[in-house]
Amino acid sequence: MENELQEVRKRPLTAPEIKAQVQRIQEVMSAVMERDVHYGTIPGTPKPTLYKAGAEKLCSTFHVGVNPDEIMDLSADDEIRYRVSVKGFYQPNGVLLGVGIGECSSNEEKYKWRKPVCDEEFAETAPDRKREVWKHGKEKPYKAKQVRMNPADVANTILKMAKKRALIDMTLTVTAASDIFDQDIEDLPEGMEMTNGKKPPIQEPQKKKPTEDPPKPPTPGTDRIVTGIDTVTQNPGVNQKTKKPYTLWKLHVGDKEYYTFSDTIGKDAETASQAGLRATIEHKKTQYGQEIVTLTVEEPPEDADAQ
Amino acid sequence: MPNELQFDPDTHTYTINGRRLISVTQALAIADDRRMVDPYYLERGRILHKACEYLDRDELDLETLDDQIRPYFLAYVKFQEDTGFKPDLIELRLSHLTYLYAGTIDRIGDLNGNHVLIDLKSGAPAKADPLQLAAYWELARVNTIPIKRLFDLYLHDDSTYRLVEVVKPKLLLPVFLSALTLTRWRNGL
Repeated sequence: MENELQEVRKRPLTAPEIKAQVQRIQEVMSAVMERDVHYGTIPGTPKPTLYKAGAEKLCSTFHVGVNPDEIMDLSADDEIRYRVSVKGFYQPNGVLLGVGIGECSSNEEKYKWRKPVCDEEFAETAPDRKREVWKHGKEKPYKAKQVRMNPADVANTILKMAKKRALIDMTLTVTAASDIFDQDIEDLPEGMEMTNGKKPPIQEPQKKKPTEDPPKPPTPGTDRIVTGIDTVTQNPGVNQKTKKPYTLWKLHVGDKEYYTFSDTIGKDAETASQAGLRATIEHKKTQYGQEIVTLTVEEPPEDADAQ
Repeated sequence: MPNELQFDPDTHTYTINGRRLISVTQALAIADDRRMVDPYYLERGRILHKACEYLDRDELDLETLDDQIRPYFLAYVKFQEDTGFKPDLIELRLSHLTYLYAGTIDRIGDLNGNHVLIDLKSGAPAKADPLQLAAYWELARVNTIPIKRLFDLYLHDDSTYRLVEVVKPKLLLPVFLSALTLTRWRNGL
């Protein structure tokens, strides 16, 4: 087994050998590697994530030596950025097995900003060095105050992180363990993490409701009420002078009564009463009582059809 | 009407005269597998686009904006406030009858005196993003819509934005057309 990695590079792997190698790593995982120390499963990700300690354990198991090959300083104004490449070689004979690369920048979200010590510090910080940012809360999003981190304060962390990423990349490459482990999940850019349906559904935005025309002022000499109509009655009769038939419609609203001779208004009122809809009644006082001048039935609510 | 582009939002397919066209998004999937992202982010992007569209058409009921897209939406609002960008074409569907593909251009409008094309993004930048703009640039060109500059507008979850210009789309277009050809071959279209 010690020459395993060296041998496989001399000829193509057979299917049983590939299976054996995966099995070997799984054996190491169960025998030597400890969950949450050497690897762990980040919620919402399908595969376990290999940590630095786990990468070192795998390298040790397969006798892979690590040699930080090149450190590129890509820093610019107000930013520390390193790219590190790491070579993995077979310790007994020094044969190169593979190379891993990793990069880290102080402009990454978690290194660029920090919480202010107090509100005074936030207030005294220059506007271009502070911000308020939306964060996901337990129940609803909230705004958090942040100030810029001094890049020099995290320079060593950035370098170590780049090296760590390179090490994990190299380990996954030379042990062909990418199908078992994810790269450290922090390396995934924002928006690429798998949610596995854990996120709540997003509500569709709606269009504004069309603005309604402002109600017209009542005709002079009339009053207006907006009300439901309890009952509607109709009394047919004949005009004594003209001898023409008519229908006297009476609307009962509480203890009040309104009348009309208009069949259109009467029927609309009857419909509103039966459907339980409100109506705007414009009325005027006559010698016979309150005569309806106009009647407008309100539209039913939108969800009425759904019920 | 002949040559009228039809779009089915459920299947995200474009057809013209009954013939199915390849969408820009579909062609790019073959060029960049990172585009095969979690459905949640696709849904978030779709709903954000809808909210921004309603905003630009002055139709949005702000009360109905979901908190999960609000920061990205505010980033778009901030971009408009900072630059004074006002789109004159919104969610414009165009087709290319020679190359037989179609796509929806997010925004075309005036930015600092230039007639520009802008694509809204709510996820991380992807390598194929410039190819997408090259595809849109060609769609606009063939439909005689003059475009001076092209931009990806990345909207972030901290309500900030980043405007990235894509230059020399003519040089990128052959790459997109290669992806288009490969997609057509793979799908037997």
